[in-house]
Amino acid sequence: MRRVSWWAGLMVAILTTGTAGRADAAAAEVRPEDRTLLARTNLVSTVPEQFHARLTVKRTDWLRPLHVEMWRGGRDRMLMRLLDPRHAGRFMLQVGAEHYLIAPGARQPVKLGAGVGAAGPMSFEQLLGIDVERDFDVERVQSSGRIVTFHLVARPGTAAARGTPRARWVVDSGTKLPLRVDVVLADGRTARVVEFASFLGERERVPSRVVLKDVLRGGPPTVVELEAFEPTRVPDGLFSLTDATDRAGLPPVVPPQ
Amino acid sequence: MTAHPIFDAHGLAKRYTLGQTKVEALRGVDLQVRAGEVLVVAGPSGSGKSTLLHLLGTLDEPDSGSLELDGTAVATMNEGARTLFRRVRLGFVFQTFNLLPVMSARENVELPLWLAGVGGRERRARAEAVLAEVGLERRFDHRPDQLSGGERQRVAIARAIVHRPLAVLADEPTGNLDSETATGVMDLLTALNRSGGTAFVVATHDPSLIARAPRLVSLHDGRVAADSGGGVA
Amino acid sequence: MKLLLLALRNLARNHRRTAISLAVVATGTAALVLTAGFVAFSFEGLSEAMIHGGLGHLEIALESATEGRTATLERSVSEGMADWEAVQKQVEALPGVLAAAPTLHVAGMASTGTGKSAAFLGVAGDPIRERRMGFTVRLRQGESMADAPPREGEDQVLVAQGLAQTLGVGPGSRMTLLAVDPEGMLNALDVTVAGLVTTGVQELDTRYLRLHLHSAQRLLGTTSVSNLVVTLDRTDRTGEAQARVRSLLAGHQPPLDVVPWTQRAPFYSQVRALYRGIFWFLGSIVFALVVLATSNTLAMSVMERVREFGTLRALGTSIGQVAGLVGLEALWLGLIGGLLGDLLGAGLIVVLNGLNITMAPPPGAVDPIELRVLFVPQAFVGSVLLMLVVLALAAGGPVLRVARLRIVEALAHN
Repeated sequence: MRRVSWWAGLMVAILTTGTAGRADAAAAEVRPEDRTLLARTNLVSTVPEQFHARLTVKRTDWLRPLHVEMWRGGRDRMLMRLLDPRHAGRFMLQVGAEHYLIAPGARQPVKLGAGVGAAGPMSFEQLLGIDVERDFDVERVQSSGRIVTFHLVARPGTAAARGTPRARWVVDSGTKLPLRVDVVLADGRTARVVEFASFLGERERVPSRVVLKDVLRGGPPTVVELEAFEPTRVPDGLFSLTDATDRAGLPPVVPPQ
Repeated sequence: MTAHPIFDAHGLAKRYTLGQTKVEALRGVDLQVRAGEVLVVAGPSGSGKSTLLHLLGTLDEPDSGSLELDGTAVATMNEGARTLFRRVRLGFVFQTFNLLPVMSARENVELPLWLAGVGGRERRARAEAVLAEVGLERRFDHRPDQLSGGERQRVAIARAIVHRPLAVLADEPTGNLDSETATGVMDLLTALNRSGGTAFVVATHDPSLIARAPRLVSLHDGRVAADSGGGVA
Repeated sequence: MKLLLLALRNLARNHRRTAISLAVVATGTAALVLTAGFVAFSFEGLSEAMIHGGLGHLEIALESATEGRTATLERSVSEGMADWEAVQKQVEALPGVLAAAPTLHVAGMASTGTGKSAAFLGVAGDPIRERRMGFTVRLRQGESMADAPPREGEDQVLVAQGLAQTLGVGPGSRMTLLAVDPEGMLNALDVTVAGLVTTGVQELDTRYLRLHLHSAQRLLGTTSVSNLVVTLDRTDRTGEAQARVRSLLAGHQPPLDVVPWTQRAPFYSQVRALYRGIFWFLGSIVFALVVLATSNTLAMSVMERVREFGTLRALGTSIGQVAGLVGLEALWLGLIGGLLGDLLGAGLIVVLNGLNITMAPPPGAVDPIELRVLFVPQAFVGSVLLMLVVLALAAGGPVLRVARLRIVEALAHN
């Protein structure tokens, strides 16, 4: 039995070399415990799959903050709107790898390019972090005490590859929480730094305060704060590209006082 | 009439450079010309006649020697003063007539008066009077190319005396004329001298003029070889 | 006076030579007059095209906007001119002002149902006022937009030819416009193509869109405008009008800037500078040619009269008078030649304009231009003056020569 399973293991390894070969080559130095740490700190999969949240986005050079309402219906299914009567009827929708704008002035959802502003100058990727397991290969891992840095390369064809070609995913191996992600351009320059300043709770693993810095263009940092968070079942209809009924049924926009 | 000699020259000398050669045109000439005199300067070609006239007429400057014009030393005159002296006190007659081809006979004669600032009407009247005096009353409006050689020279003479100068310097005045015309010109000069009192210094190698000279100064090799003395015709 | 007439008579001595010199001077003068007239026509055409193509004579906008930052894209800055209607009323009450039309600039992406998309630069305005200001829209297909503000769902656009080709749209096609509002948020608006237009500039035709002000405001979620474009009844009063409007709006908060069209059209200034450069270059060539041709003539005529000059000097004419005579001859040539050139130039202008010649469109432009040459009084006077200067220069050498003549040598000259 053990011999069969040993052979089987080898056959599987050889057969899967083609598809996973690249990952293997890139991750030549990744130990199993590092992989586990990476998975544990991957917010995209550790955050509740379905939730409803409200956020505040602030910058010191803005006249007033943005209030954002968000629904997550699963991996790669997000709906967002601004809590401002001026923007009533407008949504940003992510379905799979595509992003859409839904506006009252346009009958059909409008497909957008990658990295396009979902809430002001921020993209979906920036708001949620990136899926470090699924969309990236690990090039190497660096440790310094409790701080572990994963040097990541985006897998081609993923949405991440368009906006985040490379990244440094910095985590605390003690708390198993991510500290920071540096978005790196193909030429090695750091474009953005996203700091996970605080979390709702260890079990929740939901960042309550995220600080985004645009290193390339400069300017003051953007601070995203979680005002409310509720894991809950989110209707599929909210993410429909053809039927706007569920969205129309959402409560009207009321700006927070 | 002026008390001073019109021309009072002592030791006039002038040198020219012709290519590589230096030519001594005058080698120390003493000469005095008084008011109203008619003087013929004679000599072969290259004797310095023209050079002497040029120096007397302030058309050139001597290398050495002194020259006084009507009592004033030429050396003390600047270019402007010399130009003014010529304009007012001297007249010139040239072998080649030297009339301005774009002007009529009258206009040519008017020129010295215009230079002296004489007004238009007076200018015209005086020019016509002088032209009549030289026998050209029918030629006022003719241009030089419409006049004969003799007539042109008469116009030139009229131009030379119209402003009543102290002296007229004539360099080979009959050089381009036939003998008959030449005689007529000499007669004219003599008549003008008598009527107006203008002194005439005539440089020539024409024998007929030399024969009639009231005073004859002979130049040879840049020096005065002979001087027949004072002569008022 | 005598010297002047003598100088004139001296010119007449050699008819053929004088005639040729006069011909050279006249031709040079005519060339300058024609060039100046053509350049003036080009400037006028260009400036009027720019002014009535939408630039207007003056622009009123936020000082911060005219400093080069796009106020519409930064949340930290206020959103364009909010109280534009009040400002418009004040400005339109000023004498000489035809109208002050609001414009709103929008930039974004246009996409069609077939999946094609392209970036666009949109200008939204008030069609009624713009017509009053003489702004022409060069329609190539379809119809102009309706004057009245469109109702929701009935927004129209005019699309430039190049952009229409890229998107594969024509009159009647539906498109969606995507743009970023003053808060940095995206918005979309469905529009119908009313017609296709051209801006006259090829490059711009690949991006340009025209909308009604209300449509743009709907897309951007604002009631402000980017600026007010003011047209006057007379272009030459722009400076005056600018001062008047500036003082009218002096105390406005936030501060407003009043910018003349020449500052907003660097292209115009560049073209003007280019034409000026060409004109001066041509002028220099004419200058050099005339100097060369006439100085030779003057030198020859001096050479032939050396003995005459000697005679004049002998008779008591001063150096100044003799040299002055030669100078005067040159000036006569310049004056007479110049005046003849003016006549020649005027005649040629009449002939050229009568021929109705069409020229190919300049680079980047779309429509051919009809050749016209204007009468520019300053050119007529200026070129004669220039010829006088030229001839004075040409006479320099001969005049000096005459001044330096030794009387005895001159008299001996053949």
